[in-house]
Amino acid sequence: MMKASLIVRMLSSLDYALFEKGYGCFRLLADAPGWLINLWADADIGREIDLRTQFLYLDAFLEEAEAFWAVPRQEHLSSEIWTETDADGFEWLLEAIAFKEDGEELLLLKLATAGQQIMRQVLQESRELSLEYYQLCQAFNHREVMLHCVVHDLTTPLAGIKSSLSLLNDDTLSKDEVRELIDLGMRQVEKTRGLVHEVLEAFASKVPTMIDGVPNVHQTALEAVDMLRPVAALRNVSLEIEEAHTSDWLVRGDAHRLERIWYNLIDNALRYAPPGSTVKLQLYDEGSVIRCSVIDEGEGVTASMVPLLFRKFVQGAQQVGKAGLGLYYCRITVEGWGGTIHYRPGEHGGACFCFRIPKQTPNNP
Amino acid sequence: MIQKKVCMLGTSAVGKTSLVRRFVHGIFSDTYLTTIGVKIDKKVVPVGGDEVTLLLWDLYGEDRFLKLSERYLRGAAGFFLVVDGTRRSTLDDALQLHTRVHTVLGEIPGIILLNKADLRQDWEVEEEDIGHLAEAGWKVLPTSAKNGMGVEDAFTNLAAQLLDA
Ligand SMILES: Nc1nc2c(ncn2[C@@H]2O[C@H](COP(=O)(O)OP(=O)(O)O)[C@@H](O)[C@H]2O)c(=O)[nH]1
Ligand SMILES: [Mg+2]
Repeated sequence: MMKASLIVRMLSSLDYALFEKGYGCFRLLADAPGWLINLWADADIGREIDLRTQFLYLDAFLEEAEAFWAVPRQEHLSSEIWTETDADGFEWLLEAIAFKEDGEELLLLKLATAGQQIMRQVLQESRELSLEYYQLCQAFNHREVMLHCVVHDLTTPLAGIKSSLSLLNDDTLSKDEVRELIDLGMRQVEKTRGLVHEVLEAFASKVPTMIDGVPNVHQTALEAVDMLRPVAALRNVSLEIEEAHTSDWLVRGDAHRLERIWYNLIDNALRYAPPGSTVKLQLYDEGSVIRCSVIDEGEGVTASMVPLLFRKFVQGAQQVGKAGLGLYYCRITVEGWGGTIHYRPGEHGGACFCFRIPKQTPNNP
Repeated sequence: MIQKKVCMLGTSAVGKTSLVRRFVHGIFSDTYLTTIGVKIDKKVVPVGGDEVTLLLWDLYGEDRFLKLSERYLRGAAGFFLVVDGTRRSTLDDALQLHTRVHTVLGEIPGIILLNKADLRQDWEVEEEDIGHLAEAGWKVLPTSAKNGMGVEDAFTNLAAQLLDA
């Protein structure tokens, strides 16, 4: 008998809880190990416990254990691991083992072994690494889209320079006309330089978006409008800027990219604006952010397209035009500065693209 | 009181644990702690005039490191196949897992949850994929364990199917 009580004490110091099956209940045969008291404060030697309601997982396992106790076909039956959370939110990994000795139906509850705990850590780490790897691949993809986007945009001013040069070949041009063509060509050259600068910047830095300079959101809007006036005139669309009175137009981000965002949104609006209509830019001071909108009087975007508007260009998926790429660029750039961008139908049926950029304030650098 | 066992299935880190936590405890956390074995929670769900107790078996995510043990599946009345919308591969994993689960459980009600709907902009699962799933007879619901969108609906929906079954 002495030996039996010794064994029972040893079991609890090894963190095992040994139960004997009674009528509808289980009786604890040894001192309760610490983890059991954490999960069931009343645990004590000799106490009867309804394990099925105490541990939901055992409700299912005991079904199987009953069959095992009736006809034991192997030495013991393991429940495999399950997790219980105590009142403090700590998760205990447990395993139940049913066995039968001298006709006694016994159930052993134990903590997961050191090996199983290590397995958990290894699993946790390998899964975290898998997720990180995946995120890196996605970041890499971002870069690729950006590159694609910029290379595409580089060809546009080049075409402008080329046509200016070929027009200069005409001997009948007046001095003023020549000056105007040269001026146009020079502006396209400047734009190309800006883009090249941007590419170098994006690929030289480790962080996806760099914050340098303090761009003036109003000024960049004016510049983008200037760039696009000829296109608007060609399509017989007027461009209007409507701004609230504030002198506080300094925002986060950098001027080149902000101008590019305006450019993309206006260019996009011009493409869908019917002849004779107006594309309107609105700037509002909302306190900590500036709200910027580009509104056209076209058909608007169909509801099913709306969730896809700002998504990345996915190869093999449905056709995403140049606009799709541009909008994606706008989103990742604006979000990189802590801003937001979204679409809503315009009040008079057209499309309204709206982005918000945090202001540059002393405590919001 | 009717009790039904429901298994949360899907590869690791798609949001199975988070969906259960959101639904049962109304909370969400950004930290990721891999589930070992199974964790069971329960919640009473009203359906029409009736009530059903869902026993939610939050299983460890099957992936290339670990396969799912049959023991955890037995006796399930329904299941959710959880997919991370931002990772296309988790949809393929889920469907593959389902073919194995089907041999153990047979034909029982199940819903595909496209989780992380708060990150819709970054989804890799396309409208086209969702169309194919619907054609194959799946009920597909978007959810976000993070902001709660669609979560209550999803569980109520499955509970109703379980009462009908
Ligand atoms: N943004 C977002 N993150 C989520 C959502 N659901 C889960 N997560 C995150 O995804 C990771 C894995 O979630 P978890 O529930 O542990 O996944 P499980 O392995 O399938 O149980 C955790 O970092 C969660 O915070 C969701 O709806 N939206
Ligand atoms: Mg989990």
